[in-house]
Amino acid sequence: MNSVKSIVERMDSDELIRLARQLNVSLTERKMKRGLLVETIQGELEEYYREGIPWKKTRLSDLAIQISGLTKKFGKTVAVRGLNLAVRPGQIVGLVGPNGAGKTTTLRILAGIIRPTEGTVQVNGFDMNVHPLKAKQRLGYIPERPTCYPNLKVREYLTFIAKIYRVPPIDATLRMKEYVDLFQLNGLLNAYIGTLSKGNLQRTLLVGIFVRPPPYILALDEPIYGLDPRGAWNLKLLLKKLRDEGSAILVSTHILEVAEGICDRFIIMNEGDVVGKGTLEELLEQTPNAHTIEEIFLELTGGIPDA
Amino acid sequence: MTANTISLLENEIRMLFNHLKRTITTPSMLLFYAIMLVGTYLVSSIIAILGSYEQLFVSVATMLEATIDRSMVMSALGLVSLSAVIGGYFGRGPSVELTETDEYIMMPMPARPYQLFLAKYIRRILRKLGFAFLALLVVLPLVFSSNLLPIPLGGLIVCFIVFMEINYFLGGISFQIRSRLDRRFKTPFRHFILLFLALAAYIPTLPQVTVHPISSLLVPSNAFAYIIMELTGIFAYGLGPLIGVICLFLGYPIVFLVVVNFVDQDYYERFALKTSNEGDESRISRMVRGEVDFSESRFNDPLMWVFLKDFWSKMRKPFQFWKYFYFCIGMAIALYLNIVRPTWLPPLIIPHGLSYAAVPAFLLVLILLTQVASVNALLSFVDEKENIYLLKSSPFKASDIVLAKYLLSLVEVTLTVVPIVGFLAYFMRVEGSFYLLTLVAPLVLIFSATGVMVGAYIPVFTNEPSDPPVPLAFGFPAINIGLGVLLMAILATYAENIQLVQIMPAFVVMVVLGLLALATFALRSYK
Repeated sequence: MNSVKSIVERMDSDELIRLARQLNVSLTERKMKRGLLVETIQGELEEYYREGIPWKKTRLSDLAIQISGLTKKFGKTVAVRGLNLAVRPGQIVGLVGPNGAGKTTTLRILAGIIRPTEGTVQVNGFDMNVHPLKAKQRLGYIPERPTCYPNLKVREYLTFIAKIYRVPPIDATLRMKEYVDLFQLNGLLNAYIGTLSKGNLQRTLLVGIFVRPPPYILALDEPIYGLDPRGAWNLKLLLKKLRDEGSAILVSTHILEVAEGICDRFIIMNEGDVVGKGTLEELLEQTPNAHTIEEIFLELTGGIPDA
Repeated sequence: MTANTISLLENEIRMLFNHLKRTITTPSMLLFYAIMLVGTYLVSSIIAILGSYEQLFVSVATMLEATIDRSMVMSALGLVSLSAVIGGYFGRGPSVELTETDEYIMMPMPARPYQLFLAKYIRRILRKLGFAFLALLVVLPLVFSSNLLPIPLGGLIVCFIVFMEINYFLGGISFQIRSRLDRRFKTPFRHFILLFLALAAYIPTLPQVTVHPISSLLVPSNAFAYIIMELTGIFAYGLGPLIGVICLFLGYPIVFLVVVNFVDQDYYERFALKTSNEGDESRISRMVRGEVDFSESRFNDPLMWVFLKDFWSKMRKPFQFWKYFYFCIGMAIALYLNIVRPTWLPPLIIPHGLSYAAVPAFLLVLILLTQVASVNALLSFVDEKENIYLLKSSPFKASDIVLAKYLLSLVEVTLTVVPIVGFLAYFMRVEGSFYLLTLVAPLVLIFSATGVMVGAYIPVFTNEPSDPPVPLAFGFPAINIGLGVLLMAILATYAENIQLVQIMPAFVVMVVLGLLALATFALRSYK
C-alpha cells in the first residue's frame, strides 16, 4: 500500500484530478490544497484496496511458457525445427543465436501472430491455438523492430492498452504513473507517437506492457534496442525485480552481455535448431574449449574463428 | 459488439481524428489540402463556365443507347465483380489492410481477428465517405452547370461505394475459401473451385439472364447496373431505382457478415507471411527474374546504378512480371485491332454532330488515363521505404538519384500507358484523335516528373517514407490535372499557329526541369 501512496504523492495536479474522478472523490471546491487532495485520494485508495492489491494474489501456472515440438516451415524453408522450451515463474530465459536462427519466428508464434506448422505453444497453461484470448491476456510482447501507431498520443496508446487488457481504470492510472516515471516518459505523454525517437518508442511499448498488472509472462525481442544506458540499466533492473516477484520472461537478444547479465538459462539456436541449452555453468561443461558466453555462442554456432 | 470491439473501434476512430487534427494544425499539410480542394474547385468552376454540358450528356446518352445494349452494361459491371472474385482468390484478401504496426501491437492482443477486422473496416468506410463528400463538394460547380441534381448524384456515388465495397468483400470471400481449401487439401485440383466461383459471379450477368428486370435481384452488379440505368435514364425500365437500391443494400450486409464470420487466424497469418522469409511470388515470376546480380553491372555511373537497382528490385516483386506480360499482350491486341480492324469488334461510333463536342471528353480521358498510369512515378520514392535515408546518405548526387528515379518512372509509365493509347486510338475516334494522341508523350513526361517530385517530398513531411500523407497523395493528381489542363489550354490557344512546335516543347521542358529541381531540393532537405 505504501508504494501506491508514494505514486499518488508524485502525481501532478491533472493526474490527481483524473484519479480523484475515477475514485468518485467530490471536487466541489473551486480551490483545493494539493496536500488535502493527496490525502483524500490516499484514503479512498486505502478503501479501494481494502482487501489487498489484487495482482499481488495472482499466481502464474507452473509452466508459464511451454513450447513443445515446435516446427515452423515457410514453404520448403524450415525456420524452427522441433523446439522444446519451458519458462517457469521466477525465471529469465535467454534465446540467443545468430541472424536467421529462428528466434523472432519463435517469438511471433509464441505471441499468436503466426501458427506453428507442428507442435504446441502454451502460455500460462492455455494453448495458443485453442484458447488464444486467454493465452494472449497474460502475455507481453515486444517486437524486434519497435513500431506503434503514429497518430496516437502516448497517453492515448497506454489508455487503449489498459482497456483492451481490461485493467481497471484506477489500477491503470497508478501503474501508468509508476512506469512513466521509471522510463522517464513524463514530458512525452501528450506527444504523438509518430514524433518519438526510437528509444522513446521502445519505452512507450514497455510501459504499455507494464500498465497491465503483474505477474507477467514476457516475450521480449531485443528489448534493449534503442534504449540509452540509463534506460537499459533500468530495464535490466526491472526485469530482475519482476523475475524475483514471480514473472516468467523469455528474452531474445544478440547482445550477449545483456543475456549473461540477466538470464538464468539460455537456449542457443542456429539455423532453426537448438544447439545448446542450460545454465551458463552447464553450457561451459558442454563446450570445454569455451570460457565465456561469447565463446560458447561461437563454439555452438559454427566454431570460434581463428585469430 | 463486445467491449474489445468497441475499444478497438474507438482507437481506430481516434487515430483518424488525430490524423485530421494533425493535418489541419500543420501549416504545410493544410496548405496542400487547401491547394488540392480549392484548386479542384476552381478547375471545376472554370470547366463549368466554359460551357454547358447538359447537351453533351443528353447526346452521350443517345449515343450509348444507339451503340450498346442493356445487357452489355450488366455484363461489364459483372466483369468488375468477376475480377474481384479472381483477384481475391490470388490476393491477400482483407489482410491487405493490415500494417506492420498491427502485427506487433494488435495481433498479440487478446482480441479476435474479426474484431480487428471490424474496427479497421469501419475506419476504412468513414474515410471513404469523407473523401466522397469532399469530392462531391469540389465538383459541385460542374454538377450544377450540367443540370445534374446533387442528391441523385450523391446517391449514385454512395451506391458506387457500396458496390465497390461488395466487390471487396467478394474478393475477401474467395480469399477465405482458398485459405480453407489450402489448409485441408494439397491436390492442385482444389483450384477448380475458382471456376465455380467465377461462374457463380458471372453467369447471373449474362444477357440471357439479364433480359428480365427481375435479374437485378440476383447479384449486386446487376443491381448497381439497374440503379445507374434508372437514374440516368439510359435503358431505363421506368420502374425507378428503388428496387436496385434495396437489392444492393441488402447484398452489402450479407457479404459483410459472411466475411466477418470467415475472418480467422488466416487474416493474421496471411499478412505475417508477407514479412517472413517466404514470399508469395509465382514460379514463373522467379524464373523470369532469374538470378541477376545488378551490383556486377559494368556501369559505374551512380545514375545507372540507382536505375538498375530500382529496376531489378522491382523485378523481384511478383506483380512486376505481370506488368510486362500485360504490356506485351496489350500491345499485341492493340496492334491487331488497329491494323486488322476486325468487324466483330467495331469501334465506338460517335455521332457526326458530336464529333467536336467529344474532343474535350477525349482529352480529359487522355489526361486521366495518363494520370492513373503515372502512379508508378509516385511510388519510385515510396518503394524505397526507410532505405531512402540510406540512399540519401550514399555518395551520390541528389540530382543523380532524382534523374534515375525519373528515367525508370518514364519507362514504367510508358509501358503502362502505350497499350491503353492503342485501345483508345481504335475505340474512341474523335475529330483529330490521331494528332491528339501524340499529347500522351508530353503528359507522360510531365506526370512522371510530378510523381517523382511528390514522392521525393514525402520524407520531408513525415517520418514514414513508405506512407504518403493524404494531402500529398491527393495533391499528386490535383497538380497533374492542373498541368494537363494548362497543356490543353496552350494547345487550344496555338492550335492554328506554327509556334506551337516551339512553345509546347519549351513548356514541357521547363515544367519537367522545374519539378525535378524541386525533387532534388526535397531530397536535400530531409529531416
